Amino acid sequence: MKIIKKGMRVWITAASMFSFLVGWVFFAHANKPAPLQVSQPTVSAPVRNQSVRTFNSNSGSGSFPFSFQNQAQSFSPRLRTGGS
Amino acid sequence: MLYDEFRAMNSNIVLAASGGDLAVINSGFSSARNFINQSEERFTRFSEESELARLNRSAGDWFQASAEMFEVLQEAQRLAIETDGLFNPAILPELKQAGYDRSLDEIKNSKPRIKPPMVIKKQDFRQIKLDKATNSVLFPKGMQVDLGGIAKGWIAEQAAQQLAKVSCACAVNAGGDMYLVNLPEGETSWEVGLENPLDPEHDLAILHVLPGAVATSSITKREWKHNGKLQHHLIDPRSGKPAETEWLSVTVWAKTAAEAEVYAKAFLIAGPRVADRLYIKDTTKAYLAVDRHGWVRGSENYHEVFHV
Repeated sequence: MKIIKKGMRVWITAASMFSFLVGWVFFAHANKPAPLQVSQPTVSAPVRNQSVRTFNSNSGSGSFPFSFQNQAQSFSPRLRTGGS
Repeated sequence: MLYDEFRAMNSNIVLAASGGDLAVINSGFSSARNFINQSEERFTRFSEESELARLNRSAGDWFQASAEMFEVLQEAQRLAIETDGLFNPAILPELKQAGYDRSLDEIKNSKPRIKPPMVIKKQDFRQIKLDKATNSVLFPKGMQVDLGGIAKGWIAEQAAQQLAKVSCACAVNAGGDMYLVNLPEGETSWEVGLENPLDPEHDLAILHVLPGAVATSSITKREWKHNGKLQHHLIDPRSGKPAETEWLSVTVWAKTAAEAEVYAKAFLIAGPRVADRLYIKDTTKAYLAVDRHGWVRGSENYHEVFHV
């Protein structure tokens, strides 16, 4: 009986350690969360507008956020800037 | 307004000019095009024969540079100092490590490569030595430089100055880095489309811009997958990795194209707080930044040069 008890303890300890290590290895090699796919937005931005709507004019820091109003342009100029 | 469009420096180039003799303007377009192509050969890092490639190979020894190369290096060093090192062209090894080791067209047309990370010693471009008397340059040993953006801006400005000799008003746009000289007759500004960084086919707004230089830096334009991760070309010199930034794009107006390009990059890397600190040091520039939700943040003086 004593031998069985001892054997059970050893077995449970070994099984726990083994499971823990397997879990560790599994999570360490799992795929990391995918980075934000900025080219496939989940938020649609206001497109092609003319005038400006002030969002919050806390200009103490030297700049302030705003959004372009939703007034679509029917043309696009030949000169465009968007990053190189 | 007359236009000439072609592809160079991995970008779409647009030349625009008005107020002059048609034949003379066309010959001006031709000269500007030649200048741009020759300059590309000089400043590209994708050719082993370019002056920049030879300069990089000479790191540790003095190098006799051309007048054009010396001028760009001088301007780059000045701006690296002015931006407290946020602009640092000596990040070529980091750029290659991120997978940008060929032109973007080549990267997109080939299978993704898997490369083990290497330890890279950080280099500070502010430490280069320039000898104005002999046009000589000394890069510290191991320094490798990419002049991509600043050179493109400088080339656009030089080409525009050439074109201005044969026209009353002109513009040169090199993939979003542009230089505008004077105003077309009867106009009070130049019309420039501000690309939506979330949807580059469309404009977020039409900007009415005063003469000077405009440049946009964006993390959505040049991106690729490397070692399974999405990467972009804007390396943060502080981390040596593609910048993790609150903004998607920053557009800057400045007096020179090199300044506009460098500050657009520095503001984008730095984000709102540092951008405002840098901006306050020199309010002759103005910026518009677009964040991930389409919100735009403008410097206090943005409306002085960007009439939206």
